Amino acid sequence: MFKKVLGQAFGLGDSDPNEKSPQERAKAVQGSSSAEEAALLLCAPTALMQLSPEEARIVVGYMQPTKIEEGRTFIREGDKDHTDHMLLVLSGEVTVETITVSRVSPVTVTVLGAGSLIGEMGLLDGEPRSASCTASTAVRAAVLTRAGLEVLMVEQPMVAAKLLLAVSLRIAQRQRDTADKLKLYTQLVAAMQQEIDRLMPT
Amino acid sequence: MLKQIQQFFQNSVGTESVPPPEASKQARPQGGIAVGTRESELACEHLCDSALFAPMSRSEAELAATYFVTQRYRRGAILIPEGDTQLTHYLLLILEGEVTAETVLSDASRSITLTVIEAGGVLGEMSFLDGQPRSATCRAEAEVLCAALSREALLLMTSQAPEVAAKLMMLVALRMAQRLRNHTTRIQRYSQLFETMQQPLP
Repeated sequence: MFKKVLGQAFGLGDSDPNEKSPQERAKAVQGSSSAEEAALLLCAPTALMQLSPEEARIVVGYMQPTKIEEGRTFIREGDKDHTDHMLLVLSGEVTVETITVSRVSPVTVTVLGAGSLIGEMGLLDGEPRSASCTASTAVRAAVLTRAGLEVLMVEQPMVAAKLLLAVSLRIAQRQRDTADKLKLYTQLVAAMQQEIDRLMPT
Repeated sequence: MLKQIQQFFQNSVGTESVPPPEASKQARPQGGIAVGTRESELACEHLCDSALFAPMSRSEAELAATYFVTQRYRRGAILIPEGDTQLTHYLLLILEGEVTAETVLSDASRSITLTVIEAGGVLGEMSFLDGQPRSATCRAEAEVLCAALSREALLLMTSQAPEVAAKLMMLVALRMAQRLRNHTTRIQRYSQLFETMQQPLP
């Protein structure tokens, strides 16, 4: 599905993006402004920090640019089939929503901007998407597919290792947030249980 | 600690051609898990996770294990204390046994279990990555054998065997993604519970 919406930038054309020589990749990245932008975001502290600009440019060579029009939901909660890619937002805003909480109307979890990484968990574990992502403005993004990452791991293992370290760091940051929330809820429930035990001793 | 990681990335730019002086091909962290030992067997078993789209081969897992050192804990021993800011430079892969992650109730009356980590699970990876204080206390529920990987050892692995380091980071990221999904689901259940409790009685 993503193959179809992928843009023409980086001079990709119709050729399989995963069958290119490193030289071709470097050439495609050179002189492309959105490739340069993606590289900059990849090594910016808000995104995948710790990659050097040179290394970020190498990663970008394995990504494909895409444009998402305003209002389009490009990742659907529970989707089992399209879990083979992650996106780096280059510009625009993405609303992340989940329906599981209230079961009726979706609840906005967060709003993500340029430099955000989306869908990295699905890329890693292939499990259904955990939330829906909708472009709240026109969005430009760079896509890294699982196949692209696999090729990167073979051709540029050190860059791949650093990229994965950077992705892990981002997951760690989100994990701290959820761990705090979970701690709070668990404490709340434990406190309620204590109160119930006190009021209604068995 | 974060500085060190940043330094690591800055230092390691272009190390493919010029390896850092300490990273000779033979150098390994002292006391690393030797190939052919029972510990190595166990480590390989847990490192070769077929859920990964690019799993480690047996020889890669054996090589990766040489960068880990084993640690043994008695039942009830604390592997990681919550809030620790000093010893945040390593992660643990559980080879045998079970570990609970717990946190103290806000009134400090007792501690509650947040999650149970079984053999094959990874713990301590958040602080390992971001250098922030340890988020929960990890306690051995039974006799525990685990393999510790320090930041320095990972650094060494990245320069000596980048393809193995990439696959290891993928495994760590996968474990984190799995835990994050689990936490997210539990938070959603809790918030559903609290929403229901706020409904007026019929």
